[in-house]
Amino acid sequence: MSWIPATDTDRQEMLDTIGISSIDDLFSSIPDDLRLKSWDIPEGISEMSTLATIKRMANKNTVDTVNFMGGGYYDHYIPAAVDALSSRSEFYTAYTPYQPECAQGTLQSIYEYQSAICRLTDMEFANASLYEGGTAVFEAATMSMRINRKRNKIVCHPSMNPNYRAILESHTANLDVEIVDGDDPTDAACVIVQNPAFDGTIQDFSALGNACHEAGALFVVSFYPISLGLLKTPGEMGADIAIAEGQSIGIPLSFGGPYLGILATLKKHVRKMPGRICGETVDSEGKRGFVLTLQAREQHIRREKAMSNICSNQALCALRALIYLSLMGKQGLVDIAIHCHSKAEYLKSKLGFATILNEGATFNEFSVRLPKDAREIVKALNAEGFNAGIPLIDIGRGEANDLLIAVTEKRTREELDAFAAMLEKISCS
Amino acid sequence: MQLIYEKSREGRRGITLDALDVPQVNLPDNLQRAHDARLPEVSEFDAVRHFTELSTRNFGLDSHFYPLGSCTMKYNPKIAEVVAALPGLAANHPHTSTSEATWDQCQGSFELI
Repeated sequence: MSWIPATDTDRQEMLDTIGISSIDDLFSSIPDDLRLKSWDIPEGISEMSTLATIKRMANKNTVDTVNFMGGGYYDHYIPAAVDALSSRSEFYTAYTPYQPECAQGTLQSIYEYQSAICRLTDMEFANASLYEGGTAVFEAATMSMRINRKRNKIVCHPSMNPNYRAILESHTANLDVEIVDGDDPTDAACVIVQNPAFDGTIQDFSALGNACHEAGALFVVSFYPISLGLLKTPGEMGADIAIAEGQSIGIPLSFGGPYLGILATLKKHVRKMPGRICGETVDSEGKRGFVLTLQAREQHIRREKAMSNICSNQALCALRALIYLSLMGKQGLVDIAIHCHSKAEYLKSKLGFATILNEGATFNEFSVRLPKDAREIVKALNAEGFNAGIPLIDIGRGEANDLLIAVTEKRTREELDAFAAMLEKISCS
Repeated sequence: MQLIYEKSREGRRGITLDALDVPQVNLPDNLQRAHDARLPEVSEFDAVRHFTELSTRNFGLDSHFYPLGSCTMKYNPKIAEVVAALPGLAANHPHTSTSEATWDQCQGSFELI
């Protein structure tokens, strides 16, 4: 595309219309010494060359390996209809829905997304979405402190993704917040757990939820959307706030974004919830319509009293999640969860030469201790066409021989057999 | 216009999976949810009609003049959508950047950034 399509004639007509003689006249109110003397911008390149340049970079990435990498982001199948529908420009070139009469498509899709998240989590209210999973953790922590106004202690359970914990620390660096590790809810604004845990272990956290409530702390559960096809829900465990990274439901990996932050809560906490909410109403003719609601919580209305800095949402990613959940439907999500879990268990059964580190059950991800250095094994397996997983030591967990392996519905039995055989061959040679 | 949930018909499906090619393994009851999530039960065609109709209820920059929004309503060239969807970029896992062992897999993303 040409960024500056106007011709000299177009420009002259515009100048004539507003009654000035040159474009420079538009900037005459800026003193000379404050104006740029030159622009250090290289010559532009054509669209054709741009495509060739970026294709060359894209081809330098390795993405055709058989993928066992997870750690919060997963290689799930995305139905073609998700791309086809979310690529309609009426969705992806729409402005933020401040004018409901021009934005019923976006608003109804957000309303349906919120409903889908509530149904998935057994929570009562979901917001219109946040930026990604790490932001959602931070927002859940600060929401807890708004509800528990005299407390500033955030307890991070060891099940939490270390990346989320790091994001929480950096976001709260200049706030009066104390972050502690463990599961003691005494004097805490909230306790944050993750299920499945970062290492893949799944638990029923209901007892910790009860302990939180007895101690006056909020109970925050970070979940993995696909796993809720099978797993006990945040709502069933007594969560006050449920949060998630939504990448797994219809959003490509894309090296880290754009992603989707999911946040849901209970009715009693809704006015302390960050972000926007879409609600159903009726228009002047009594017809159903959708609007942004409870906007006094938002920063564009009362900045100093806003619930958070979040004044937008990830509408297009939320739309993708909604389309994905609609296509999968009630039974499809259960089926995917069964496939993920059963295939991971099958792979585990083939890894007799290694030690599974998880003490309890796992969903589709688990940690193993291999006979050799995990980094070396990952490199060797990459040369054989496998992305073997994450060496845990590189994310600050475990020992040099520990590897985090994830299995999605995309993996076939043949791939699992070949991976297990190659992993054994390289580990034990 | 109806909600997608109001178009739901029990048992209708948008996507099916291949038959499970490994033995099915069940989780202990205490770790499982009590009821399936009441997600929509629609065909792919139902979903396509629904979301296409929703899209017609939006003013987008491509389809309408829209004088609001100083920062977010600039036109983005279509090539941006094309390159973002290139499999080499769209399928690149973010944790390939986490370990030196997998930096070989994301040299293109590193260069682009």
